Amino acid sequence: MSKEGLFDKLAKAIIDGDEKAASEISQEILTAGIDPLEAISQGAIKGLDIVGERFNRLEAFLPELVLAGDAMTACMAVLTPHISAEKRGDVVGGRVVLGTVAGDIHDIGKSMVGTMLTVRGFEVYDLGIDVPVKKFIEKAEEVGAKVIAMSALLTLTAFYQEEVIKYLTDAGLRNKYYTIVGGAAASEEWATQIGADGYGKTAVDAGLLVKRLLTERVPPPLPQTLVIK
Amino acid sequence: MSILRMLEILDRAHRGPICTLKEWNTKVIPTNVSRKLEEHGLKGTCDPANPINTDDELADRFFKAGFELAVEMGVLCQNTERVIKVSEDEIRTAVKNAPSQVFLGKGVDTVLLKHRQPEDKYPVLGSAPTAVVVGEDIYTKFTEACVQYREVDVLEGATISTIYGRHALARTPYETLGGWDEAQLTKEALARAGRQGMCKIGIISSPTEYGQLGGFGTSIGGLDPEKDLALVLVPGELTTSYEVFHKVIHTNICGGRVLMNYASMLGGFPGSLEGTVLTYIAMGLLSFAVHPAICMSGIDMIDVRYLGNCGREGMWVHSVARQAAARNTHYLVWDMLDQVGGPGTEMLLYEDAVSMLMYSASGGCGCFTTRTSGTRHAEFITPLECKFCCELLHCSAGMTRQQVNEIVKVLIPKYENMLLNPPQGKSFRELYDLETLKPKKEYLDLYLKVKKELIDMGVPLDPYF
Repeated sequence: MSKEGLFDKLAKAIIDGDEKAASEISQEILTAGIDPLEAISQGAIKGLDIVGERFNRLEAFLPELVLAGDAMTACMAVLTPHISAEKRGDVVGGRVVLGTVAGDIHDIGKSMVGTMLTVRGFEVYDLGIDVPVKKFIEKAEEVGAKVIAMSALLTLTAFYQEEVIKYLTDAGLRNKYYTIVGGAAASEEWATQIGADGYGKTAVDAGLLVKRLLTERVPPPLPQTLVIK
Repeated sequence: MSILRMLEILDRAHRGPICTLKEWNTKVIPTNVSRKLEEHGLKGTCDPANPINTDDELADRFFKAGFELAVEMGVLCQNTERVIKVSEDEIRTAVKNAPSQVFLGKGVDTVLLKHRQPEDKYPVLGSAPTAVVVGEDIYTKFTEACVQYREVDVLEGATISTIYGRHALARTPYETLGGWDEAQLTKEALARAGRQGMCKIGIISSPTEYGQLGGFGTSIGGLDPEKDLALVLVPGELTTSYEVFHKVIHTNICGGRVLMNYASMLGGFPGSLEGTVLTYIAMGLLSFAVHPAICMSGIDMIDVRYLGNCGREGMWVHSVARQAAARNTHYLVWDMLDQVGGPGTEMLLYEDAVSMLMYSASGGCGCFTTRTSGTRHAEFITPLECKFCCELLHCSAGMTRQQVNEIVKVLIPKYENMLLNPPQGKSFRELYDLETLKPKKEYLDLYLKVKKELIDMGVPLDPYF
């Protein structure tokens, strides 16, 4: 099969959310001696873009998005080790610890953000819902994350976004991690008030936000909250 | 509430089939919903060009499919990650035993909530305001300003996020004290407005069970189980949790009544718009079957693209789902409709008109009114839009779906291109005189202008303030 044919197959596997196919086709690509970086950008990401556009038109929905993200993860697991260290930064964006804050058991927004970050090539450690303050930090320390991303749907749980930032400051770790906030209870004003490094209004914005934070490399805490909306 | 029945349900929460939350959301729900839509020929029936459904046969087909989905799926307990299944008989029995009318409040402030059919001549009851954060310093004044309007039938109340200046952190004793504080401040506001007997839905400031424990049914100053309603929020699609069960049990032990409200996302795990209709119907039925002795159910269905639901897709989904349930059951509902325009803007008033008219014509019973600016901005809500929504609900009783559809088709284009970036508007402090608790001229003029516009379109509103 031609290179383009393989790229189209890979894109289709991502669109279909087929982890097994994504993994197998990625292996085929390596066996054929094709540049894995090219395969990611011309195949996998092309598939993700299609799913993303369909989602914006409500022609594809959250399950398709999450499954596409899982297929992307499977593809990256095969291809990334074969990308040279200096070029790896083009596709592997960094590690993000993600969770819905303590007292809040809403999952949907967080799942969407996790998917959007995965499709942008970030390694996401999803802690789930109702995550205590210290757990965010413990996980970030454990995996060497660069970003702590916190979702909150309720006003009274959004306070825990501030608690995490305060804890980082009190523990002398504030300049080690970017902190971003989102969810229905968050806003640009709230993010600024609590000294978060970034705020994204939607899950798509979250992906753009993390990309900018990690490429612009202004060390945390940022002098002004970066807002994407 | 039968203790034995509750124990049976809890047993199932601990012994039912295992399923992770992720698998439930990304595989079980979409697969089953899609299959059910296919079986009943419901795929592709969404008609956003006509946001108000007028096809009774379509609504009935959706109900049949939603009922089957409820029987086949059950709900997932998030804490145990096990599925609570209930039989068809159990669902039918629970729905049969659910009340079709209840009195809310006491004395002269008593109102009667009744099951309604689409185009029913009995009016929808409205509660206000909806859960926007208001500062502790003006909470009582703001609440008094809302309930001074007799059009407002029931008080929901703003969220109070601090107690004596401290954040009311969820699942901490601060939240418990915050729940009590909400009850106290509310009582004072009702007394000042001369509406002591008004039903209050609470505890709003209660993300976990602790807020309710502090403020509902407590002997010193809590909400009154005989006149008030306990709000129990269910977090996700076809799920439940320990927090939900705690609140249901606590409310029933206090002799109170539960208003259960569950969340759903358009574009979320049910997949298509038609899929969201099915989960609305299924969850309504399962609310009664899985949570013994709840009084009424309701949904908050949000479009993931803009976190509101007053777009044409949101209105279509809600109208057909509401009609399906109203035509085929007698249980009571109290739904939430989510506007994203800010106070003091035309957009908000148009969104209010579209959503309230839809709900009234589609067989709603009670309605949380006006959730301005998507509740993102503290104090960006005023009593005027609360009053406006309740006026719309009351006056539109008896309007046909066809009439409402024609009006809605004119109104939605006025704001739908702003749904993604809506105007924030102005705050309560900017739009209201805090001494007289009256709206300032600029907002009053806007409200009267939009009212006239709606009257000219055939909405039977009173032209005066």
